Amino acid sequence: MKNKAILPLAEITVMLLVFALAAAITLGAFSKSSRISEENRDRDNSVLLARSVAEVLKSTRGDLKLTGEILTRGTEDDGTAKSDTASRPIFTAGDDSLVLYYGENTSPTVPERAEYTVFVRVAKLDGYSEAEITVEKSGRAIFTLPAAWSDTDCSPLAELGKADARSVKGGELE
Amino acid sequence: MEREQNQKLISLVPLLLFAVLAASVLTVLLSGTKIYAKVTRENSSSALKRTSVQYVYTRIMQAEDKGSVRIENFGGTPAVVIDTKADGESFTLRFYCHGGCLCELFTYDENEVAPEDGEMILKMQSMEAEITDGLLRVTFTHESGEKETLFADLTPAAYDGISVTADSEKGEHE
Repeated sequence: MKNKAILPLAEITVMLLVFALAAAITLGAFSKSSRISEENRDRDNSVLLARSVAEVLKSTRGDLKLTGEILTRGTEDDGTAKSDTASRPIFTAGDDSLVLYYGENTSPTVPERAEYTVFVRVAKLDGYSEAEITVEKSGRAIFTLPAAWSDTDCSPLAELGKADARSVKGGELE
Repeated sequence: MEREQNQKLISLVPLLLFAVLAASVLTVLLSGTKIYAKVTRENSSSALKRTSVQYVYTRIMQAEDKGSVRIENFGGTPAVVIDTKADGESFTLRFYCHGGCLCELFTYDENEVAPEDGEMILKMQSMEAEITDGLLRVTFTHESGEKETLFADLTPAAYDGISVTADSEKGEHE
């Protein structure tokens, strides 16, 4: 009688041990895949953010305040509460540096809610300017993008653009 | 009497162990499903963002003359238009949102075309575009309602080699 009870007990104990081992390995793999996916998402977002900043910087010829204003324009439409951004600045522009804050959905936001922080450092050189755009998350640099542009404004299109500035929204020319 | 009780308890232990095993299997399965769903959702969202922004950005960067990039009202929907010339013939490439999809349409200049003639690239709720001071700004609204903004500097300096943006060599992630 005693032997009969011990046999299933031993069977199940062995099953449990094998399962525990398999579960530990599987959960480790799940956790790793989740972490990798999150890292990939952060890197994708960082690359897109850094490139946007670089394009606007080139367009404004390194005017950091204007760059900040262009990049954060329409923030209220992107989900950040108007009351949050109305009274507090959502970017900090210095003489040679700019700091921008972005939320999880890569919309500009207030520093307290920021998931990503973009640091821009600009250096004026002989006839051209260089910038280093670094995207950080929780104090850790995720992506760095160098950019450079000519300081001489040889862009008739910029002037043309001012005269011909127009936008299409919802199918209507504005 | 006491021996009988002990026997009953011993026979309950395998059942109890089996219950523990079943609960563990269920927990691992459920957490696996949850993590898999999260990873798939994040990957899909990232891929959508990357594809839409990257596809249009690459096409703009491929344009021989950035001045040929413009926006127009195409059948009631805003479209990013790139005019190109090859072997003396004029071609027009349009990107626009139609029928819940981001579409691409490549045609001869003189051809009469309608939004429904385009090739669907991916699902997209809407697209807004504007060019101000030589800076193109395109805002994509994905099916999920998430917004993504593409900036592209259209000034000639960004194109003629004076300005350089390098991302792959110094781009880093830790």
